[in-house]
Amino acid sequence: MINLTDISVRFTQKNSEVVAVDQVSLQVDKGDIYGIVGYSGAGKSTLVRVINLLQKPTAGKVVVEGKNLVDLSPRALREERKKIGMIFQHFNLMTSRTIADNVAFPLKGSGLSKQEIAAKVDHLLSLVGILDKKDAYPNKLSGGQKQRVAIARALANDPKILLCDEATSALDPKTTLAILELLQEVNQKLGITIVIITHEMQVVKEICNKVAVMETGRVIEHGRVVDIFDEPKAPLTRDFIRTATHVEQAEKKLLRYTDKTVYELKFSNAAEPIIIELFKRFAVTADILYGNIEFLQNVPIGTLLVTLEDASGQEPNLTEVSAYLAEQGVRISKVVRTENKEVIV
Amino acid sequence: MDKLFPNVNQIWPDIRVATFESLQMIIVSGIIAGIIGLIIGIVLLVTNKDGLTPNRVIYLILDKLVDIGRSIPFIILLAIIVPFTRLIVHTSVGTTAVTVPIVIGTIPFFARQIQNALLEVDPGVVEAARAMGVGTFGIIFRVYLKEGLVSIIRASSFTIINLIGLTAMAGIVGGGGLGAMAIQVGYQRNQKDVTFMSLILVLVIVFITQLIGNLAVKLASKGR
Repeated sequence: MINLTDISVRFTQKNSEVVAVDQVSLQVDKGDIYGIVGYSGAGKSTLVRVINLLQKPTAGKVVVEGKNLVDLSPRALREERKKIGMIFQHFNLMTSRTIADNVAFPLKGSGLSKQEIAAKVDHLLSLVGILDKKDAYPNKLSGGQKQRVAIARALANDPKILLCDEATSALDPKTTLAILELLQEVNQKLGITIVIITHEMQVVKEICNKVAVMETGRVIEHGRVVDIFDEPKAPLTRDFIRTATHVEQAEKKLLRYTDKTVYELKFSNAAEPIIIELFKRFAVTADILYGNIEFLQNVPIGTLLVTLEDASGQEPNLTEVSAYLAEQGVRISKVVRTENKEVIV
Repeated sequence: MDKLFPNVNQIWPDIRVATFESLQMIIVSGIIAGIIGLIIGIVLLVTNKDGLTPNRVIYLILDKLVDIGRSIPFIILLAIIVPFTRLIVHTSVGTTAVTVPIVIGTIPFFARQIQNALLEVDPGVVEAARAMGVGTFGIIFRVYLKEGLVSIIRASSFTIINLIGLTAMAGIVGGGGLGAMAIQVGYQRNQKDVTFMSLILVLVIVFITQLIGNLAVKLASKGR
């Protein structure tokens, strides 16, 4: 559906050149909710603007539904843009128009009659659950309501793709969840492919099926969300996930209260009750200090923080323990006190 | 009345004519300068390097012209523009003739005001419109002019008040109006009450302009 190939975006400022996006290739399939996550300045906003060519790439190909947008004439490009909706962090509604007029805005010149436009606007506003505010002006609305209007506006031209640029970053956690739910609904009911730019892994965890992690203009890791959460490879990805799953905060606190070595167990579907089995097989007692299970696309991803002791109260033989755990699909790692970085045993 | 304005009472018809001449100059030059200034302001906006269709050459030329135009003192402009005025209106004296320098003097001022007013329009809204596939003209008319309407009205009333100041100077080169009346009758014949009455009438025009401007701003600010 969306194929980005070797995209680079470079800005020249006075004497220096800034590489905002560095040879990124990305494929988004039909029906995906694709998350692009990274800290601010990672180039993710620039990258999403490349998809509808609001930002012209310095190099690379932008193929959307089989058409390379870079080759299109301005007129043809405008037509393509109508098939790609976009919502923004600050909603970008027109303050001088009512809610209904904002949603009707992109429909001008669509060939629909006034009545048809009015009917469509009503339909869209009820879809996003804000029909009662139709005659109000944007300034009378809360952030969440404004984003709903923005979504309705983005859907006006029946797009195939919806780009979300930090769409929930200006919203409180509860409203964020409500908007994410709405986006999921849009994805499932209308079959619209969604690309979400965010700096919060929480958002990715909530609704994305695929994710790409960006750092300094590059995609450092990408894949299915379940796989990435289960086994993040890049340190930055691990950082993001641990923040999102609150494991990091738990570790920091726990390490203050125990002198023992803390181990992190990660599993997505343990076949056996492993804690009991550890005791039965190796007489190893696992003391659970913290546990968390996340459901990603209905796949549970678990994290346990434990201390391990053998029968004599000593550190157990880790080789056989980790061999057994590996057999069960559980990965074990030691939580290292200094710098709070983990080392794989 | 006779005591306060002894001379004014003798020349009421002249004052009426002068007032109409002033209004005529203000309205005619306001409309012409308004249209041209608006266009130049928009062109400056869209050809700027962050604009919709950046064009360095056009921007630089217009930008410099506006700068130069704004730097020329009006009184000097009145003098050097005479040949150009003759070319266009075939005379260099009278109310019509003086409209030319007023228009020329107002255009750069208004163009810059418009450019700045439209720069206040949220770039995010412009970006959203671009993302929707709206073209340059669509964005100018449906986003910039609509979203920036309040700022445009403010800039307009500010410019008109400035323009009223210019019309008052028109008397110097043989133009009519209240300014000419104040100088030629009030000052040169030392009829202070005529000067004073001219001032009052000019102020009334300014206040009415301001009043209309504020009212229009109020109407256009609906919903904000």
